[in-house]
Amino acid sequence: MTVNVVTDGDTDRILSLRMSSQVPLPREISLCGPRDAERHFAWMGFYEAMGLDSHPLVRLLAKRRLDIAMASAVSRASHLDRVAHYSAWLGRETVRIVDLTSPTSDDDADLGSDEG
Amino acid sequence: MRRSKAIDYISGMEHGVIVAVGSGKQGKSCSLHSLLALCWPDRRKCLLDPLDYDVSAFPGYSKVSSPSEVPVGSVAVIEDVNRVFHSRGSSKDATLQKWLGIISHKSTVVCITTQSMADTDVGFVRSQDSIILHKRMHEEDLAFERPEFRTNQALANHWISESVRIHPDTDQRAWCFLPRFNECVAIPKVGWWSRSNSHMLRDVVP
Repeated sequence: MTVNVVTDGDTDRILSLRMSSQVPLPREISLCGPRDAERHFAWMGFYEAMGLDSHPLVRLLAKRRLDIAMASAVSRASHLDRVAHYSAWLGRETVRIVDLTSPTSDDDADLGSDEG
Repeated sequence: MRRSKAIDYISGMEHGVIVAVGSGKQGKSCSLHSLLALCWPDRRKCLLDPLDYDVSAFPGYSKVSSPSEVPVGSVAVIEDVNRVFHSRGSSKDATLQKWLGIISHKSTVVCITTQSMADTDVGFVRSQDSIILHKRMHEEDLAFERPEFRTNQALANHWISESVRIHPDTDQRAWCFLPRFNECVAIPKVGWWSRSNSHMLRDVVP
């Protein structure tokens, strides 16, 4: 899939900053604002400490909180930033890395499983 | 054995255009010829170039001087395409358009290498089934790339670095990014590739 983005210098800078980030983040957090992400991790940390992080109710709540955080992060961003965000996010998600020079390693890795 | 969507697709191509783009000495030609050897080991291949030089370093390749000499069903490779078809040449001279218009009839795959799409006639990517194969491009060169290709080239630089990080033992210059398939593929170097191939124009007088 190809994403074509008409950009200006500022968007290029934002896009390259976003792409040059070597920190593997889950896609939900990548889309959130930093404050929302911090709050989310603090909230999840509490439930993990209590041993409840895999409880269905906690997971349901976590998903709802993420949806809200993502929606507000996306709506806060200016249009071009959102497009850059989105293309970088798609790029992270779907690019497959295939090493044909070493046929012995047959783990079919896309980045999600490589870095997750 | 790993499968690549891009390699599978290219192997099945009867006609089309493959563009290898990237800064100098990033392995564009090597990857392109290796790709051809991988996808079409038995298909007829030729180098299209009006300059006169010896192609014996390319086993199985013939040399042609003009598009009309390219045999039916073959793969035509143009190294550094803007030497042969100038950047905006198709606006002045119809040779390229006439040729690209009939490659589907003649089952020709046209392969080109170029350092930047900004220096390449867009006729190559406008009309036929074209696949862009990105190699690494220096940041300075990226600033002058056409906006239509700049995002993909920035993605290519990122993903090639990422692939090198994940596979440190693989030759860095084997990696190619194909945005159409969203794949970063390391293409095994063809056995006969050597310095005489990558420097074949050393003694040519332009």
